[in-house]
Amino acid sequence: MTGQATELMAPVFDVQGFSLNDGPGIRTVVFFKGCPLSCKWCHNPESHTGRRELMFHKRLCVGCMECVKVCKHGVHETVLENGVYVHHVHPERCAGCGECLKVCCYDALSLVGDEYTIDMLYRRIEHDLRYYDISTRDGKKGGVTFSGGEPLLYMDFIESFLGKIPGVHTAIETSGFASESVIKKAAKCIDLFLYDYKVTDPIRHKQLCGVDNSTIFKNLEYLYEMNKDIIIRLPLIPGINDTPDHLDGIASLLKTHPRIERAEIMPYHTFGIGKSEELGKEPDKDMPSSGATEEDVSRWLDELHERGVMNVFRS
Amino acid sequence: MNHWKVKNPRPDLSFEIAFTAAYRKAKKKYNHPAQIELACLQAQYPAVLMPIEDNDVLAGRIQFGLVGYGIQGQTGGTGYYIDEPRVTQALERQAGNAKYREDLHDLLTFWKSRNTYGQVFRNTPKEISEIIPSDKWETQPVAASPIIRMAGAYIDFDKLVHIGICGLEDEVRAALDTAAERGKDPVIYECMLGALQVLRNCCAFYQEEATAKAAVAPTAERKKEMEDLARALDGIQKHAPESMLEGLQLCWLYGLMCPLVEFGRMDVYIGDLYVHDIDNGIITEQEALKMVQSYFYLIDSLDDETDGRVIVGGYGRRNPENADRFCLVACEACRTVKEILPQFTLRFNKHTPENVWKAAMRCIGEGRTYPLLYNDDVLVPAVMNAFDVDRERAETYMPLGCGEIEFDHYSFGSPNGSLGTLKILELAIHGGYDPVSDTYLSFKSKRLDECSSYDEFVDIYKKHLERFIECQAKYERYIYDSIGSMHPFMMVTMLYDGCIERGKGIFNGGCEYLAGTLELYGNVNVANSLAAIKKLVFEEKSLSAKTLIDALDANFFGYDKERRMMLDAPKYGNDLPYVDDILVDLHNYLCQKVREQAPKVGLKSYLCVNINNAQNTTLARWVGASPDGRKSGTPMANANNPSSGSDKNGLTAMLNSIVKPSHANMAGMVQNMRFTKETWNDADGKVQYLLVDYFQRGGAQSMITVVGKDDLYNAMQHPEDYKDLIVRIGGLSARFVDLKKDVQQEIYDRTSY
Repeated sequence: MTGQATELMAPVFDVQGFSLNDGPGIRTVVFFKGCPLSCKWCHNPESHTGRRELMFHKRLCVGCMECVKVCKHGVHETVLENGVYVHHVHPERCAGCGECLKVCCYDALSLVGDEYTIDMLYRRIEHDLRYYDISTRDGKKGGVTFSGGEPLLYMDFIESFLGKIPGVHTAIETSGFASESVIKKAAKCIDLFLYDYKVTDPIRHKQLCGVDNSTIFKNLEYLYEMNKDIIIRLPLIPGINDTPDHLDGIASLLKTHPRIERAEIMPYHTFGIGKSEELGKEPDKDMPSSGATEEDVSRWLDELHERGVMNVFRS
Repeated sequence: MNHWKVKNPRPDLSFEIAFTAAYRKAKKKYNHPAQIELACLQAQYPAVLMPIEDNDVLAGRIQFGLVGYGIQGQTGGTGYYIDEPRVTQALERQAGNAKYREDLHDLLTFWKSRNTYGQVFRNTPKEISEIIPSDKWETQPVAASPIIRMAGAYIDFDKLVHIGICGLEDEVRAALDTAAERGKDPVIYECMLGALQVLRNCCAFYQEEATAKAAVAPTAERKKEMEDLARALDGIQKHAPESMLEGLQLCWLYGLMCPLVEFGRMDVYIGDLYVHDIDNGIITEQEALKMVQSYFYLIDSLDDETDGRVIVGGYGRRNPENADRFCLVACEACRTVKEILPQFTLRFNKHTPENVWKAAMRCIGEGRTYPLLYNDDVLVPAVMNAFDVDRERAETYMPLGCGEIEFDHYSFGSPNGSLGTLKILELAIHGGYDPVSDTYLSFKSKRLDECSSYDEFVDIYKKHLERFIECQAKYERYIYDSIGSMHPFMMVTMLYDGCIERGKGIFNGGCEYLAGTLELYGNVNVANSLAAIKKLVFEEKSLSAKTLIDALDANFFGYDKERRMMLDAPKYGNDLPYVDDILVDLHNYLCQKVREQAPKVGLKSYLCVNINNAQNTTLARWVGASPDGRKSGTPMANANNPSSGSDKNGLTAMLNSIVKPSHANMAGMVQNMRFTKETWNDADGKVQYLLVDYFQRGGAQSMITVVGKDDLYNAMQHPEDYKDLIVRIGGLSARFVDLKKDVQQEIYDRTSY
């Protein structure tokens, strides 16, 4: 499996302070890199592998070609197109040395995925610690949310890291795809689970997400039995997984698990398409080229309410 | 710059010609500046007043002349002024007959040597002009520049409302009666009485117009409004204001005659009359709101985007309950008058009522950029220290224009100079030489590559700063003295503490607390540049000073790798002690060095301000590449905010950084925050709690724009659809689509959370 944490290091592709949407209060979200799933609609394509990857932000490139001069791996090329020299990038050739970044003054290139130690991550979030104590209107305080990729891949790292910030509220945004021992560890040290529920039908789940969903359901049952705080997250992609049987499945899950606080619809958006292009990857052609509309969201909410579940909201 | 929003401007320059004739005549007849000023006031008012417009419930539209008299530059000019380019334009249009064109030529030649600005600048003592030779900061590279004007008159509106014209006349008459025995000059008192008579004439002028408008009013409602207005205009000629309408009307007309651009603590001076009228059923809330809206529209009509302050809230109000009730109407007027002015300002503290705070948050949430928030619990103690005054005085602090602090109708702290700290760093790096203009703008010193340590270089940089700071303090004093000897500014003088008793013009010994402020631009870029120099050149030694200078001189062409190193050096706004400490050290040095000048030049205080008014873009055009990786001519960071895009650790880290520099030794610092609508309106109110936390831990000030980043992008593409989009640029709010493209881009690039 890619991205296995070794010697308590973990690949992180972003740390976002002042996050307001991934758990209570004001939070820091740590995005780990690497995921065992391969959801076709994924909006974080840079999180798929655990290795460093080059991203080329074409709109920021001024065509100075300084990167071409320093790259020893043939990643950057000058190509004559219609009488004009343009910059071509081959990210698949990239060895992650970072030489090109040292000459790009326009932030047109970035390498995603730094190996963090526990101390490095602590220093990175240190600025935010005081903000976790701010109580917001609902009386709740903030904390740290682990996201990804799949943060459960790095549970040893997370557990060890939490030793540095005792008392801080913790949340994890997860697909739930992990071994029994990992999920037990998570249950011990994580306060809130933002748990994805992607596709009900197991065959379709495998087609769309690359893995079977039985482990995911089993782990959810375990966390539920352990009385953990759970918010179900529902990525809904128009024409892909907003099928009657999946909406039935959502309704059934929520009805049979009344202690689940609520479910949040995560409407499909297309931010991932641009990022895929920046990584030199082909976006999945089967996915819609435009995001879910307000009408889609209202329809989903109506259909779920009709099925008798009222604790479903728009994220 | 200003066009004074009036519907039907005067078709020709006959006012300007008549004003010039009146000045000539007065100059021949009188020697005393007050007599000449009175003659000019008589020529100017009500001649420049314009008709009441359809939605006005208060009278007082104005089109200042292209020649005229004023105090603060933004209403045409300081003292006697001429707008040469526009008079020339009128001439070039070949309008009018031969005599008219002769008269226009006469305006140009007559005022060339007589306009106040020109006289002040021309007669600048050599010891100053040798160091600061140019006032052309918009078009030339300068390290420091004078700003010749008298900005920031905050008159005693509360006293005016309490005693009215009659009471003020009584006070002046009493002073006149005893002038001889007190050894005072009686002429200024006689002229003050004359000036108040001009004010009466203006009231009568509009009373007549309102009466005429009532007679032909299209609706019963409009008829009543005009009848009420005519009665109020009559009333204020006879007695002190007895209603909210009378109070507002008197303040507005008095202000126009100064002419003022700042409108004081409105909740204090109108609060009692508002409560009186409401509680006695004289007016409805709706009528009160309409009056305040009308007042706000009139302020906006002055078209002076860097001023037009209306202040509410805070400590030091004599009538907090009534004032707080008025605050709610004022917030609603601010929310609904979707114009650039007034710069509505809320002073708040831990006792500010929740409904006032909520009304303010609602305004901000709707993208108004107002109110500007000032935290009294931090600022009052800071002001006590910086200005060396007691708490009672500190509680009367007033931010003027872009954010310089003064005391209500007591002190004057006109910001009359600017200091380009990044330009001066460029000079220090090059040993006093300015590569942009190819001249020495400062003394010859060791270049950066001749310095053996970081500290040695910083010492040299500070010596360059010191040279200009000392000179700017002298300039400030000189401008006060020069203008003070020429102009008594009687309308302002009469409503400044102690001036009537002293019988002296405000800048001629009248003002109790004469202060000054120096505007700083570029501090954040300097701190980032110093951090890069310290780290790369002196600590890591990964870049030689020689190479660094070569890279800057080449504007980084061929030095991309070196530029990337400079861009990657620590940047202010990320809660990084390495660079934040450098900024704090620079800030403390500048505050202290500026402050030390006050006793040397005989001012009560001389303090720096770190505000903005688009000069971060304008001054930067003439600053070459800098060691923070900034390319030649591109904008500098705005006030105390991180450079565009350099606050990479997010809002929380940015807030940690910006609370580090102290307010306790300066006269104002501006902090911009921009949020998208979605973030601001988050259901749990997380941002607003964050804001409260920021203020609780020492945040002094905040100017907040709530806008969608998409809105800005779309506004650049389709300006026609975004005419109402107002953004905050440090010290002022501006219509986004009216800004130059580079300024628009700079705003877009600033991080928005």
